[in-house]
Amino acid sequence: MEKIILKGHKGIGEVAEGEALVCQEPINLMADAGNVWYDPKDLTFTNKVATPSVYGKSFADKVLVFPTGKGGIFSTNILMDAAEVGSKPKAMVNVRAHQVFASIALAINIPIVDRLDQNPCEVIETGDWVKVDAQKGTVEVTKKKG
Amino acid sequence: MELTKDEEKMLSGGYGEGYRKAMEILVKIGEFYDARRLVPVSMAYLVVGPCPRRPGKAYEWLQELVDLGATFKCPVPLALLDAPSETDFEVNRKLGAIFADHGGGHARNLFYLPVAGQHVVADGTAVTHYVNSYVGARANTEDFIGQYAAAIVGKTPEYGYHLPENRAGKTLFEVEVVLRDETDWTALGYYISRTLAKHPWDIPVINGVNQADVTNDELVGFSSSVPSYGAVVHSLLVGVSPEARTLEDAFRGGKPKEKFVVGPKELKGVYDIFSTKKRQPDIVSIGGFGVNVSVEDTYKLARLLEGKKVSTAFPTVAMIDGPVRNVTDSVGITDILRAAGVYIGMDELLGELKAGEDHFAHYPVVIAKKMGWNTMVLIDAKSCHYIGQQQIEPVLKHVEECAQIALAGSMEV
Repeated sequence: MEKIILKGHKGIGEVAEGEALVCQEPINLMADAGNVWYDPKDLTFTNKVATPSVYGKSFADKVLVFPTGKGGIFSTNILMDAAEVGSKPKAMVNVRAHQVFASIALAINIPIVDRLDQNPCEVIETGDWVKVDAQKGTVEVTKKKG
Repeated sequence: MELTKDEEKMLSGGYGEGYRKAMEILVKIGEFYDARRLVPVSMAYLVVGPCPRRPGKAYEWLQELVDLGATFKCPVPLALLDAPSETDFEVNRKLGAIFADHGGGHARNLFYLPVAGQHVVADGTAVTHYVNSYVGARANTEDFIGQYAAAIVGKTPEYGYHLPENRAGKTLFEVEVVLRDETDWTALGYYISRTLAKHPWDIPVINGVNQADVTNDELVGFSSSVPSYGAVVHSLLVGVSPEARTLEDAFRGGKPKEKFVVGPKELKGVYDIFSTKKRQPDIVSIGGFGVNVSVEDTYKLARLLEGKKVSTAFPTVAMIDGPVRNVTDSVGITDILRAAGVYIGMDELLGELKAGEDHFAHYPVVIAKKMGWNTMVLIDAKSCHYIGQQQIEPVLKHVEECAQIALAGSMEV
């Protein structure tokens, strides 16, 4: 199976792997995943306008790949409560990480890696298997079949 | 990252566990962003809410720092959104906050301003944009954890907009349209935000606006919308921003990477995105999800509605808060608007509709859906952007149009 290794900056956190969910748009979890405000178990993207590439999909247990964040400074609070009931992404991969998401990675103890040698939003597709090693700053991508 | 002896001492627990934890966060964030050192912050402007679950995990985290003996090391004005809990007050009181008025989350009500060149923590994206762009202070967007850690240590990692070399203009926006009010300025902010969504770090330089024609309230509105679609928290308005006295000054001698023209067509394009085919909205909300009403707009509204009655076919709300509310109360505008049938603040309307215990500021979109507000008329593009993303139809209108729609009970005015 085809494997691609992306090398980037040393990240935050340790090692995690899972299926990729690739969002092509910048993310603000407060505005783009509206249900989690009310139900910490629901990590569905609810924003048809700003995040059409992942609309209706949940990022729970996924390696969430997206260009950057936008803000939503209370996203961390909301994700901390979500993580408490077991709903959180496995890892995050960015073109360039926004501070809010670096902080979320710290707070809920998942790896985040950015500044890679190729654009992760172009190389990785939803459904690929992705292993993130934050301390090495690497992202290992196993392409999905077919 | 290079730490001073004193910072090393804090990181190794020499000042207690609370400070150690806060310092550890700053060091991890700083190393991630290749900061060379920490720099002192002159103030940390924080905001309570919106955080629906109280006390949630974030507050447990904060309470733990308090229990471990941490207090703020710089002045911390704390702005309030609609409904802070006693837990919020208690934790922040122990940390040493200076409590401000309501109206956090936008730059309208800043009462504790930094001065040019200072490193600060500045609320959310709207206030961060305002202090970077018009005060010339230096701030990055930071979340709850980064903000509190910085306020407790009194320092922040030196990366992003704290570094002078990252503050120069990169993208040119030539404005070739008259911006007639704050609503137009929020539309311009939205256009720029959308254009730079995937690379908000390519700092926009806005040229072509006569500085004599700009009001501070318009810059407040612009600051709320320019970080809405993409994360632009620093821009340079030629002739107004301290770091952009001239166009050359804005680019520091460099050339723009890209150039865009914003004319009547581009501005109208934003109004077209936020429009409706319906004849009647479900609510007119003057102010709301982005930035609340300015004193000037409350005067405009009062002039248009005095002695008249708004339609009862749908509610009309004026989101007036903080120091602006003090003004409207004292000059009689609150009374004029109430007599015309306008609700002052969303909680007043929800109270009358017996909508339950939930506060609007905690779950705005959920409440809007629950109330059946499927089409909302608003006066700023950030509010339109936020609710428009959540299957509610936003309609962007000027204050005068909002008054006409409210009086006529119909969009066709």
